[in-house]
Amino acid sequence: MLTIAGRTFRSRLFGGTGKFSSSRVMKEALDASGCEMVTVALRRIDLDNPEDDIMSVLDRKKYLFLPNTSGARDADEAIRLARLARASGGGDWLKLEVTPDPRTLLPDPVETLKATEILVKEGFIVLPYMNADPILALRLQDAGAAAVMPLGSPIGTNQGIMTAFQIEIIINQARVPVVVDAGLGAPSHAAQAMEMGADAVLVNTAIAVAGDPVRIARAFAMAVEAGRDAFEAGLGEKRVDASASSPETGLDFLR
Amino acid sequence: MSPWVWRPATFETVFYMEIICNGEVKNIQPGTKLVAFLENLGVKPDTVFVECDGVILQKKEYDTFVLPENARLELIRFVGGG
Repeated sequence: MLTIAGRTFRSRLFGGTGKFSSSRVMKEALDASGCEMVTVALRRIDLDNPEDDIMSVLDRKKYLFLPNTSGARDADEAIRLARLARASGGGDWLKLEVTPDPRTLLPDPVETLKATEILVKEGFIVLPYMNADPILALRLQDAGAAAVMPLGSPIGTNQGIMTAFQIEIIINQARVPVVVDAGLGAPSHAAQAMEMGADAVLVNTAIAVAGDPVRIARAFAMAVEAGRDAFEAGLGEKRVDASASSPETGLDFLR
Repeated sequence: MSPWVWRPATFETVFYMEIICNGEVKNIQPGTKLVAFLENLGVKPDTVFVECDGVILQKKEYDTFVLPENARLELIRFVGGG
């Protein structure tokens, strides 16, 4: 079973709550996904629509809320969002996200490390979203990150794991759980991450914008389980030369 | 308006003051408590986190916190995100 910061999770699929067409669809998709941890963002209330509280449909006993610092462009902004999230009574869990460039939404490694150091000292359970940089993963781990969340490809792109080589190194040397986050566009991508030995994956866009979010959520859940089973089972080694599956002997009668 | 134009004291100038809430100017009566302000906006207090002049307010303060003049109030809540 997956354990992060002393808390165990039966499901290795974490869900996002953005981009769903309605809160009803979101709730049904998250139920179908079996996930136990969901990310949420913090934003100003819309004063013209103050009743609009989509989080009211989610049972906080069922889902651990993982507030993110999305929208933060530097460590200071991320820290401010983190403190606000904690003041909500939502606990100390935090997905740290520092993305200065709105076009790529790639995380700023320097500011992310800086914010991690500060927030860990303040008692936060920090899960930093990071580029798939093995050295940075070590630095974040040393700074006290509870897990590391390398990207498969940029947020919302559905491109799958473009960073497989680096993610494999990260997984091989990590002492904290590795959660592949961002860019996973299909259940097969999630399965690939799990087969590589990732501890969990986080999926939002691919579920939220699918033709049938509830059904694809189920597909992601199965893919994550399949990928994890395959990893634990131990995959056969890759090789260059062919190796016959049928016996190569006992063919004397043919010739 | 030029400060030199004489204006009689009106209901507004005497009994109302300005605060900035989520970037919008709001006129409130001096002494207004946060909880009353939120209810007046139609915001359920338990669904919102509040920052006043950069300081985060604790939920238990909402009932007693009196909004200061020219306060910069931020009303924040959880929304969908990844």
